[in-house]
Amino acid sequence: MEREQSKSSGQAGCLEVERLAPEYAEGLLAGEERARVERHLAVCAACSAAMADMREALAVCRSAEGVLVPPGLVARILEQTTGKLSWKDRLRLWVRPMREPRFALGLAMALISFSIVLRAAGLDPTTLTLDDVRPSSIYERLDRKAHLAGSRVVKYYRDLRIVYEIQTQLQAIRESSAPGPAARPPGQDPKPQDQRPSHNRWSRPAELVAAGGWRLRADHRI
Amino acid sequence: MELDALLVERCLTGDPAAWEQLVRAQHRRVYILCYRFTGRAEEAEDLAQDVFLRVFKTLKSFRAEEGHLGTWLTSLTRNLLIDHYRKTRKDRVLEPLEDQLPVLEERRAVESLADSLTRGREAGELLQAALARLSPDLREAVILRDLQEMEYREIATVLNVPEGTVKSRINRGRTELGRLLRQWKVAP
Repeated sequence: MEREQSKSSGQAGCLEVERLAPEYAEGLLAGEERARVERHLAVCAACSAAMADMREALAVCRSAEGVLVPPGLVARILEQTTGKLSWKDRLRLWVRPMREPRFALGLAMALISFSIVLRAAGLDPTTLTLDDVRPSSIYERLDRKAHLAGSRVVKYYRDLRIVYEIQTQLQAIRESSAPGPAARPPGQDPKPQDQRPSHNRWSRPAELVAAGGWRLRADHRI
Repeated sequence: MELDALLVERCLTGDPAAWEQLVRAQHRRVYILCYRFTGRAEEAEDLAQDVFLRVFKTLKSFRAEEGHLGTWLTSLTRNLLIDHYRKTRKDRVLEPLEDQLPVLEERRAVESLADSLTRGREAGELLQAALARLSPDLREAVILRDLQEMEYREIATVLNVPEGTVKSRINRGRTELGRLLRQWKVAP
């Protein structure tokens, strides 16, 4: 029916337009066929809308940027198939991972870590020489650092001992100058705080030392 | 066609220079087809390598009298892509359209500053997003015709269907693609 009507009116039917549409949309259709399609599109809203969509799609396809082929693809294909590579392709394969952001990030992290280690070893990266990074030099510096830290701990410990000595001496003087039990009124016991460790500013380090399990003799030589 | 036959013949005799020449001449076509079909650069690269591995093993099955080397390669690539599509169908999840639209709107907002290069890149990205929404049948037909610029006859050979079916698929594919792009209001 549609075909008969189309033929009589000199225009294509929907089916014919569908067949010719790809070439018509690309501008490849000419002559009578083109005219028939155009006459049909002028009166058929559905085909006209479909043609507008097709043209939209074609326009985007034509304006779309070309796809960039990864630079090392040929090298990888050749390596995978023949295993033979030109020196240029070998170089490209080596360089390719370095062009990725994660490589840059990893490199930055490695540099930061290296810098931290150098600082810890007492080196200034800006004035670094070849001698500084010799294993023996690094060992010497680390050894020196370890001894320095050790001597600081020992010094701190000895300071604590001096404090304890002084505190012990003061305690002894205080006890010797205090009145004896006979001088006290009968029935009056010594105050409880006398038996408690005193909390003056000298006693705290001594307590710390005692709590740490240190036992010092009064005649211990410092 | 004779050149194709000669090149393949040299490859089959084990000439590495001939094989390299073939790879250099055809890798672009294969990679772009893989990229347009999958929409992912890394996946496309792996697939392109797989294609050439298969070509390397099956090159003796190429018959120069049956068509161009490019058509044969496209056919082989297409088969591998369809296999890959079937294998990964379950894993593939398309981003919802609603998630993509804000990005597209944002991009359009700065379009006044964009030059033709930027518009071309944007069109490429949008096209890729729209292609991913087509069924594989329609997608491959549109890619081969509108992006690979193959003849209808060659596409019919690659897809192993009559030319009329190719035209019908291209019709439907373009209409669907245009409808999506129009919906996103981004067509240039």
